[in-house]
Amino acid sequence: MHRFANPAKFNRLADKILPWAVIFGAIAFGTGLYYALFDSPPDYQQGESVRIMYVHVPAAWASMSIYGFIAAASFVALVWRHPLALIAGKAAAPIGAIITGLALITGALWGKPMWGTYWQWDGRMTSVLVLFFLYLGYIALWEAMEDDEKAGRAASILALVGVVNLPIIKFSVEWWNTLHQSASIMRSDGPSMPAEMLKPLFIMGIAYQLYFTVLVLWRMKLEINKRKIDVMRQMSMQDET
Amino acid sequence: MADYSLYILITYAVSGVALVGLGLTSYRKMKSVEREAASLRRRRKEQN
Repeated sequence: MHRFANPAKFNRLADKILPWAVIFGAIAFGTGLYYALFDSPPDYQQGESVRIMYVHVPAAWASMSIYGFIAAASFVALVWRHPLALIAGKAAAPIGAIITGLALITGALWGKPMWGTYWQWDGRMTSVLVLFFLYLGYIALWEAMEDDEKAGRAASILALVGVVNLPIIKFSVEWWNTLHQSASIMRSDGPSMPAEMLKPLFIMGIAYQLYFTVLVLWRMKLEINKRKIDVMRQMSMQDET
Repeated sequence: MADYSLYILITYAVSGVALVGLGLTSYRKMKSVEREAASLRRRRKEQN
């Protein structure tokens, strides 16, 4: 793992991964959108509005997996002081916040025609809102301190504490009576959805993960270059004095 | 069955604008900082 602590090595690896992730991501989005909008059947109860699921559910999956990524990066940063782990967490947070915001907005837009309300303070929706605030808190901690080392440590601790929210989101629909529907994919008796609906859902899920991969690599390269610029400016100032 | 096309349209439009917007912003920032780092590196090499 420490092999990739070297930013030059990381940049070389990222440059190898990025073109493939962009190509496969674009293909996945194109194919997923085609199946979601034109090929999948309407639901027998929800009608055409079920098509909202193909952007809402992958966004909800990504919001949780990105938080898991940040928590894992934070753990590595705190325990092994891996320099790229802090950068990875910082780079991932705005992507996670926007995707979680999208999960909330698209959920509300699905809720209005189905439940008659945009919002309900039930277990699932409230715990996802808490996840959104955790992302904002993580970003705010990074921005609040000038010393990156201190800011990173504080943000990492928050990210690790916030991990407790992930199982709450997952099991909220089982633990409490919620307006939100219960699990329809990860069930002991198998998914309660036909293959024509599962196909676009999984393709869009992969597309969102590839989107995250591309963006987190871009943003990590951005952070690494920012730090290089700071170092070069400091060196220039020292040369002048 | 009611017509939900407006909700579907808004959902896809909001998702598209947010994802494309974040993607473009991240790419542009990454490229501009990459260019700045490269030009600083060149300048330092020339000075030395």
